[in-house]
Formats: sequence, structure tokens, C-alpha cells
Amino acid sequence: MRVVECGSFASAYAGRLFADRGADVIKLERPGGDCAREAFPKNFDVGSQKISTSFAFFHINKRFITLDLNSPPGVRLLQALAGQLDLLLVDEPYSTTFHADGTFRRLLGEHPHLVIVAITPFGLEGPYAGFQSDDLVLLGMSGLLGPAGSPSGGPTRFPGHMVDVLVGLSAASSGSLALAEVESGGGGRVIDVSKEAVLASLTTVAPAVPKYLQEGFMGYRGKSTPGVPSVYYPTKDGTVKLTVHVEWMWPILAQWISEVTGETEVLSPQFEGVGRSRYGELVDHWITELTQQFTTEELLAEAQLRKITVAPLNDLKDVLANPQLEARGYLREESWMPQGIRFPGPAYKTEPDQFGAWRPLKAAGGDNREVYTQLAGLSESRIGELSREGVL
Amino acid sequence: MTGLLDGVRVLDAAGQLGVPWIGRHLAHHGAEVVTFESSRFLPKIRSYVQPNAVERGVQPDDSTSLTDWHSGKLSIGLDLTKAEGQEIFDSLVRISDMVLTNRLPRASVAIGVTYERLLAVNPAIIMLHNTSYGLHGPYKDNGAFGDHIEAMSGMSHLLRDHRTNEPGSSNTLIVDYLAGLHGLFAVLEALREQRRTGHGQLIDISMLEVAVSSIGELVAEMSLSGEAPEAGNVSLEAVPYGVYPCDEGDKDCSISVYNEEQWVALCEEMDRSHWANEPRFASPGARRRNRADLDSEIGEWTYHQKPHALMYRLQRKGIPAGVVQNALDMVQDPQLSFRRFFPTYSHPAKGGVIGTGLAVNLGDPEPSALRTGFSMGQDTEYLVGELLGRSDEEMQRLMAEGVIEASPLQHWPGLGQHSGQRDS
Repeated sequence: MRVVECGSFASAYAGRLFADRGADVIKLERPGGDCAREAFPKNFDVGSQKISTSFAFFHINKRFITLDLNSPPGVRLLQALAGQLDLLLVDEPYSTTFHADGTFRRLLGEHPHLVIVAITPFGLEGPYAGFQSDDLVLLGMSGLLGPAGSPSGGPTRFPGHMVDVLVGLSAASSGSLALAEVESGGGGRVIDVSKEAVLASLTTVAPAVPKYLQEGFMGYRGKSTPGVPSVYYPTKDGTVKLTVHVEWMWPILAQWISEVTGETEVLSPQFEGVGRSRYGELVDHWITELTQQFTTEELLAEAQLRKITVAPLNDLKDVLANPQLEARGYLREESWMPQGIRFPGPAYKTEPDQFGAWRPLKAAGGDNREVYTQLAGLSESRIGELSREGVL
Repeated sequence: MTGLLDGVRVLDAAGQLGVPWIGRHLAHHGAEVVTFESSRFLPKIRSYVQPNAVERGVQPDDSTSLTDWHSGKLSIGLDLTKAEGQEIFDSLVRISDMVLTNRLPRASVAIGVTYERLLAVNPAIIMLHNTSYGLHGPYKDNGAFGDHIEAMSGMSHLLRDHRTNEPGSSNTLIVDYLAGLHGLFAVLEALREQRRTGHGQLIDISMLEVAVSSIGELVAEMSLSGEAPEAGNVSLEAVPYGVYPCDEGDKDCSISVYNEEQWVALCEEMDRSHWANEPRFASPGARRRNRADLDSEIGEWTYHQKPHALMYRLQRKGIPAGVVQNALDMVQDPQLSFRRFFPTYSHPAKGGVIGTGLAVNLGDPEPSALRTGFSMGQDTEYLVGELLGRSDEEMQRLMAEGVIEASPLQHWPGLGQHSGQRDS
């Protein structure tokens, strides 16, 4: 299976998902390379190239070519390459242009089994199709930004490139579904992926709009589970998140509090169910009395035995030292990367194992010769010409 | 929807959240998806209703979560803790393509839903097993919900209030959706593989790993430099970049400025063209250094404006701006309406109800009468009687012994499109 992806991080993540499963995924960049290669502050050297950790994370396991998709020869070369592809993942800025100028239509006309996934902020058409956007705009419009953040802070964006990860996941699944259709004898298609719509599909565990229409509930920022007043509690050496997601946990927690602190009032039925919310300060006090008796590790171990859901409030350093991730070999070091840098592996495991070794990252256009000779039938001299003309 | 998965049968033996959401997507694309319930273990999402919802006519066991996440599915009432319940489950596994579960490993062993056992029953079976921490390792039997994983993965720390360090949350259980999205992709790819090779596979999803993966670049940066990324609404490329109060503080609108053209346009809109010459705001670096002042002054300007009017006004000038929409705004969002994002389902008690659009949608129209809001075990008769060929007498015995259950409340038309035993 062969995939070409071009544009920003959402298509890149979709491409990475296929690359992890062994597909030949080719990253197409503008001549000189996408600005994301060096636009982020944390860079490391691969050979003579500086590559940002962001670019690296989204492009592990791929081949790299360059092509000027703003030039007619560049688009013609893409059309030639498309005959060798199963899937074309196109993100901004190319998706809007290729829809408007008919490139998608021509590609599908020439290659009727090709699946094209076109990713745009709001969709290829519609009243917001021309809107300017970024993560804040998309999270806000989709209903995800309002609830996100701390109770005292304002709406807070998801960290890193999470929006692109979420959209990339959706784009990859759409591509997979359409590829299955082609493999069953159907034709290719252009799939119109709207980032706003993908994010809106994720609006809360209690689906936001149906919940509002049927139950009059609008959602809020703050604690997602009101089973206990504060959710975060101090331990001897840190902070934990402790919740009572389901009411049967409360009597167990109350019993634990009573055992550890000698407090018996906590066992009273008046603290069961919704009535507990009337005694927020007192309940917080009791829980704090409990959690402060333990280190975080001790508390976690005992809570698991008692089936109370607790987790440590970790920062990224804690994540790097997490024993579960370590045991599963999730954070990977590669011999071609600088010593000490670790990247998350595939986000799930399979049996039998579908994932192989990682291909080293290369410079922009590092696979031009191989890809254009093998897949587009270009001669060495023609590749040289196109390079001199700035097309490659 | 597309019917691309017509003929695919999925057993959704999950309790709640991300995995039923996967099953929902498979059902909408044509798969026959069977969910398992018993009166001893009703899924929690049945009861995810607001305290005042009952006054509005919502039954306490018929939440909108159930309506949404189990739309298009069949329900069997089956007690998997009984030996005969497991036999019936195995019979269904033999004629199915996929089993989805999110029970802890020890709980899965107790009800016999393990890959080793399923593989012995059906060598081509695909099993997706979603757990808090994965099927192996020291935490494998630890339970956690999505918001605990946000804390464990570093996400809550990154969503904190950068002024007070108070931890934050997505408050949408985004980790469940991340697991659901990864799981959906994995099962779709596994189905393609199964069609090519005839082999199934086990998909082991750890919610901790999908959460860390979603911020993987930041984890890699930390391993490289030891420096933590800045929390809150910060951008390396844009300034101003933030969420500003509108409508007397009731609503918010985001504004981002990525280049000089947008900056000049914003200053003009704010009637503060002189800012371009003020040292504190004249360059992106200066604006970044004086960000608190800048945000405060922009906030004063936006405070009395209507958020949608402000968004349109700034968008017309090419400035990225977006209302922080709530559920009501989203119902009225013209772009989502244009895309027919909200499907209407046929609900036995509520009539036509609005659902949430799919994350994976190839653009084909929704089926006109996709059903939802099933009662517990509503399709037991079809699945055990018609599909597995158990006689009426045997069905009665199994009912009497509590192995199977069936609600007498509803009988949906249109069953049987997948009827008939499949070669196993």
C-alpha cells in the first residue's frame, strides 16, 4: 500500500498511522522543505539536518520528497505519481486550492481507484469554508474549548498539536474505510474532512448537543465528575486525582477514611448521593486527611485494592519515568537519533505484531531520486532539470 | 450511511465510553453490531442523565449517551457469568468478525472474553481490548477513567491555569475519544487485513499510551531538553493569541494574529491604529513581552461586543477569530448545518431525536430511520432464536433460568437483514 501526504500536521499524523502499520508513506514537501522542519524550538541533528521534535514525531517511518505544488509542472508530476498511489492525504494549504481549481476532480478522473482525503478547517464548501482558523478557533467553534481548562482559569487550548492528532485519526479511518471499498470492487472518492466537524463529533461524554436538547444541560468548565468536591488532593509527596465516578465507590472511600483517620461521622448516610455536595468543605477535609497519610505510590496501590479510582498528577518528567510505559517498551530510542531522546511508539499494540522497525528520518527531498525514478518514471537528467527549475 | 461494512458482524461487549463509540461508527457504516447487557450489569451510560432530566421526560435508564453511542445497534440480554451464557456468546463469536471490549484483564478472564479463548472459537476473529494501561505490565489490572489518564499522562498539568497552577482537564473525557479513534482505525485496518489474509488479530489499546501519543512531540521535547512546555493559551507563532470575553462576560471569542497584516487590521478594527507606533506593541517581540497589557486592552474592547458579530467582523479582515461555542451555538452553527452534521434518529419513546455527527463520515447520507434507544435485551429473540436457531422451548428455559433476557417493551421492524448463519 502506498500513500502520499502533503500539507500540515493533521495529514502528517494520518500518514504516520499508515506508516506505522507498514505502508509506504511518502511525505511531500515544498522545495527546500516544509517550515515545520525547523519552526519549533527543540531541534536535533539527523546527519547534517536539523529537525524539530514536532516534525520528527509526525513523520517517523516515512520517505521524503519535494515538489512545488503551486507550479503547473509540479501538479502534473503529482498526477503522474498518483497512478502509483492508493491514498492521497491532502491538508492545508493544498486542499482548498485543489478543490477550487479542479485538481481533485482531474486526479480522480485519471485514477478512478484513488482515495483522496481532503482536510480543511471547516470543509471544502459552506458558509465558513473561507474562514481563517487555528487551534483556538477550531476548538472554540467545535464546542471543545469552552469546558477545557481549570475551574478558575479561562478556556484553555489542548496542548501541542492535539487538534491535528484528533483530525488525523479521523482522516486515517475515513481513508481506511474508503480503501476497503476500493478493495471490494468499488471506486475511489474524495473525502471532505472538516476539522470543525471532527472535533464537534467529540463533544463530551454526555453528547453535548443531544444532552442540551433533551436534558437542558449545557456543560461547564471545572470538575468533570462531581462525586467528590475537589477532585485533586495532596499526598505526602505530590498530588492525586481522586474521584467517585460511581456512587458505590463512596461507602468504600468513607470506610477507608474512617479506618485511617478514626473519623466515624463520614460513614453517616447523610453523605451518600447528591446530598454530599452540601458538605463540600467537610468532605474535602476528610479526604485530605486520608490522602496526606500516604505517598502517592502508596495511595495508588491501596486505592486499587479498594477499587477507588486514583491517579497521580504527573508532569512530563514523570511520564518519561512511568514504570508501566517502561514495561511495555512504549517510549523508543533509535540508534540514528541523539542519545537520550525518546519518542512514543505506535499508540496501540497488536498480536501478531503489525509494527516494524522505524525508518530513519531524512532531509527534505532525501528520497527524490528513488521515488521519481521508480514511481514517476523520470530519468536522472529530468530530475536534475526539475531540481534546477525549482520544481523539486 | 455507506453500507461499506455490510455483512460485518461485531460483538460489542464493552461497558462504556470509547469502545461503544467505535461500535457506533461500525454500525453506521453497515455492520451489524450487537451490544451485551444483563439486568445484573446494566451499562453505566444508560444512567448518565442529569438530575433534572427526569422532569423533562427523560427516563433515568435511557440517557442521551445511550441514545447517541449505541445508535444503530442490537441489544442482547445475556448473563456471561453463567456457563450457558458463555456458550451462547461463543456461538455468536463463531459467526462474527470482531469482538470489542474494555473490561480489565481480570474481569475479562472472569467472563471468558479473552483473545486466547476467542481465537480457539474463531481463528479469524479480531479482538479489540481497550484498558486503562494495556494488557501487560505492572499496572495492567489497575482501573482508571479517562480523566484519571489525563492526570497520569501529563495532560492535566498542561491544561492547568498558568497563573495559579491549578490543574485542568479537557472536561470532555478526550482520552476516551482518543482511544476510540485509535481503536476505530485499528479495527478498520484489521478488517482489511482479515479480508486479505483470513487472519484476525488482537488490538491492545492502553488509554495511557494513546494519551501520551497525543502529546508525543512534547514528551520527546522533554526527553531532549528537560524543559517543560509553557501551559495555557500560548503560541510560538501568534501574538495576540487568546480567548477574550464578550457579551458582558457571558461568552468568549478567540483572536489570533500571525502576521503584520493581521496586526494592522486588528488595530484598525479596534480604532487603535496608533498601536503600530507604540514601542510596547510595535513588533511581535514587544507584544509578547507586554502580553498581559495587550490581552487586557483587547479584552476591554471585546467585553461589550456580541461574540458572533465580532467573529464575522474580524474574519472579514482576514483575522483568525472564533466564538467559544456551546451546545446551543452549535445547533445554530451554519457550517455544521450546511454539512448536515446532526443526524435525526428514530427513538421509540422520544420520537425523532437529534444525535451527534460521526467523526468518520464519508459524506454519504445517513440511513433514514436509524434506530436508537433500545431496551435491554430487545433483540435477544432475533439473535438467539432466529440467528442461532435455538427453539422456542429452549428460549423459554434460558429465559426462566436467567441466562438470556428480553425486554417486552419494543419490537423494531427491519430485523433480519443479516439473518442466517455464516460459514465459520
